[in-house]
Amino acid sequence: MINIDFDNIEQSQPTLYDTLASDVKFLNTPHFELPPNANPGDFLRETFDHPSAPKALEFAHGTTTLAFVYGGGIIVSVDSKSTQGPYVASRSVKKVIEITPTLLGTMAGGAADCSFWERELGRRCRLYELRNKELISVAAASKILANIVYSYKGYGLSMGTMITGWDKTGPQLYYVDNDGTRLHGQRFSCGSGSTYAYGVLDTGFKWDMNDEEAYELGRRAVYHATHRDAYSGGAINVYHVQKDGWKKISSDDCFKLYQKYYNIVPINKPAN
Amino acid sequence: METLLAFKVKGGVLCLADSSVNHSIVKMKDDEDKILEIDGHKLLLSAGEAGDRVQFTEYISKNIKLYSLRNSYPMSTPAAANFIRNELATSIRSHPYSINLILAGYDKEVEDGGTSLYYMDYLGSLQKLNFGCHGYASYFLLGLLDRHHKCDLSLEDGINLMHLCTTELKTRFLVSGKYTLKFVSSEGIKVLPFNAPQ
Repeated sequence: MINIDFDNIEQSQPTLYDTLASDVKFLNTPHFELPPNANPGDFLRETFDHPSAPKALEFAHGTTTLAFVYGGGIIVSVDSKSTQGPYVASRSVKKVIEITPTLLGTMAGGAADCSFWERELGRRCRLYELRNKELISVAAASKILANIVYSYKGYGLSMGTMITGWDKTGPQLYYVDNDGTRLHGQRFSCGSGSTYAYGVLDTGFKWDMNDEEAYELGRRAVYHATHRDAYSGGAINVYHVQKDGWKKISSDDCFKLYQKYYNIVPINKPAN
Repeated sequence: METLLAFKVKGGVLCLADSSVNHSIVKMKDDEDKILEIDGHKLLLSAGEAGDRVQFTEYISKNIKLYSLRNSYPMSTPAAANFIRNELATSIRSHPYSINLILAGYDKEVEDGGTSLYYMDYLGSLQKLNFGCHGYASYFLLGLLDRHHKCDLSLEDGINLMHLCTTELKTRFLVSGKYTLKFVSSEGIKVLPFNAPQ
């Protein structure tokens, strides 16, 4: 075990050269600095096992996100709650990440990991577009992300994400997570509320439903997940992906949906 | 909880793999193809840790493709088995791939009628066998195959034996679902329709 005295770490001032060098390095390819060690993963785990080591921060661990392909395109539906343990850090998180005008990603797990790497994915997709004069396929885009997270496997990244879009081959949906899994499929859900959402989504799914039915299915599935999963909630955002790109459909407060679905009238406002 | 199974029949090798991808208690997918077609006469069955499985088998298949481009003849199945074993054995001390594999292939130079079947595990061991099985399913199937398997089984009898195996898994194994079945012989690779008992 390596012992570092976290209470007495000297803060040395970086030279101008140091800052410039690190800036250039970071501008070139985004990456995390790793300890110069044979096994950075083990090294970090052992080092930060120390009693006075700073605590790790984790955001947005509880989540419900889902995406599915149907006859009219792809629906992406997510909640918007962010929690740190029992504390609700935010009720208005944007868990759908707009990677490019044609690609959408979702956020589950570590919020910072998801937003950082999906933004980086957006940069690489734009570069691909400039170099090749055509839009990147969803298969290639999701593989870039899968390869990035696989290269950091075991270093503590936490993300579960769906990458969706419409390319030459039609509507496409991929699931990518932090242990390097990359799956192609028709229906995926991710996060602590995903099991509840699957229950509604799988039973209510029909290939040839109309757009309104599809929006409502996505909304319903996440709504029922927020009802049972304490770590999901806030508002439910629904996106629709079609041939010409994605479109935001709606953003509804869970509690408003609860009142609507169960016909509950506020006590101080009697029904007409 | 993954199942890989392969055995020799007359003129070829029959390969079966389950087709589900699970994450803790959730079945993420039930139509995953875990039998990679490396070239026209080689099948690689893989099971193991999420991420590692796809990364490793793609790395292997692209390198075997590179070999055939450089030499203008394909890599033989025994050579491929030793190449894969070596990759597993050299990575085990630094960045282990937690995956178990079965390699099946047909080359006309190989004795025993040209078919070969190799069993490999994540530690880098390699065995040349007539039938091989990975996962919990091996506890149920190895005995069954010791009893019923013969190398000169016809393809039809082989498929019946596969059904016998999946029926046994259905009756005694806690988790069993959908499977993919492929056959490699002198005529190349064939994907066979396979409906396991529900």
